Amino acid sequence: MNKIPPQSDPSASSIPETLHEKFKNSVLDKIKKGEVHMRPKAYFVLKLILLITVGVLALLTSSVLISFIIFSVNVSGKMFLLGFGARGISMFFLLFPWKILVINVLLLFLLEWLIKRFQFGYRRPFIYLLSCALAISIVAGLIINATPLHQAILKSNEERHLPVIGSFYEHLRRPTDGRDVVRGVVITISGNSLTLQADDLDNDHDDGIRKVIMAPPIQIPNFIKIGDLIFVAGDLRDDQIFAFGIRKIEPNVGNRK
Amino acid sequence: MKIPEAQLTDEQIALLVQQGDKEKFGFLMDRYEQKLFRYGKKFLFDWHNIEDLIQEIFLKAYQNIKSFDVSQKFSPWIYRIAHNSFINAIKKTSRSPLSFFDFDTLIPHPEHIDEVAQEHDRKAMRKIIDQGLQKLSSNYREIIILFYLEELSYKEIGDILHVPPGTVGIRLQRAKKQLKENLPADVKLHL
Repeated sequence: MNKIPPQSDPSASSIPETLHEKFKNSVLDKIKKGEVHMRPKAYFVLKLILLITVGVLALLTSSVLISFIIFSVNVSGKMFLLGFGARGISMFFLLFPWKILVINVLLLFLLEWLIKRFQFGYRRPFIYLLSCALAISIVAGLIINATPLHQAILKSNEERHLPVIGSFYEHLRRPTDGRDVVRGVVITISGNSLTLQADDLDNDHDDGIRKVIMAPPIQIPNFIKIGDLIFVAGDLRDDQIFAFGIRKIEPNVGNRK
Repeated sequence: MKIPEAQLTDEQIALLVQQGDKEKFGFLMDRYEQKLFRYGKKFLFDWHNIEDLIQEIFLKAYQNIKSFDVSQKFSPWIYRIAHNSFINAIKKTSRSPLSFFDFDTLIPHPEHIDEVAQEHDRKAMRKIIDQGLQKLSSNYREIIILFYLEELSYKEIGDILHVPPGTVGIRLQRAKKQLKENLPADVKLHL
């Protein structure tokens, strides 16, 4: 780059006329000599297409992740924890798939950054854009969750492990890696305790018979019968679960067909 | 019939340059050189190679002129290029950590514009700007320059800084307050 000589008075707030022509000619010379090229329109169109594509992909991925969070919370039975009082709620937050949520938040920030590159984006406050992106993402997530997509992937993954995506669906039905929250079929009921064939539908080492003792004042609900699939939350001690919550699982919630 | 260049709008000249009339770029330089020089000189008050930066801005403007939408105003577009170049120049020399998030853009701010009061305010402020400008932080300094010296509207400043017009208003208010606090005591007395 040809340097323009510094002006004599550095505090002056205008370029002296003598320098003006020199300055202008220096820029125009570079243009005429072809040292600087005008970027073609196609370059900006491609850049725009790329931005929009990344934005749409970020929004789609965010929606799929939200639908996956809803699906996984339902299938694992974690949702039941919300009905088990303060302890259940705290356990729900402890077991919530926060990592996926964090990835989702990062995606929304990426989306926000992309939108801010457009006039309609930067002219609006951040909070409006984020709320809007979040709302679209949640609605789309709910719609995706209403489709059999995740159920189909889960089933396929259980039949033959799917590459990459499979790891997300692995042990999804197992509520908490075998700790404190157990899913299983009722074998016997006796007073305020029952025996349970723990089964998170993966036929592995943590499936087995467990005794469930209801911690007073919690009672076994009348509608729970032998053969029912139930979800129990409590303290696991030597294959015995001292339960603080129990729910019957409807057959269509994450069960093998 | 050929329209004299002086009668052409910036946007019309930009269109001619986009269509390949390289010479016409000189007219845009004539119109914006002093403005950008003044903007840069006030914004980067201790910068010694402002001419190099202005040259770089014009070269970037030429390179990217086909991204300019001729249905929009040209001035915010070229000021945006200048803003980015000046910010990069500050980043290169500044030791203070960069701010990645602008909290002023987080929530909506009311955008109240009273044009008569605004003009009166502009006249009064122009008299005191030079006295306290150097002590202002760069983001406040820039908004004062763009509004009071370059006489751009909230929307145009918003387009340059990529912030909502309401944010321009709130930042301008804070900048004015800080500017007045920074004024020498004898000047404050006459306000």
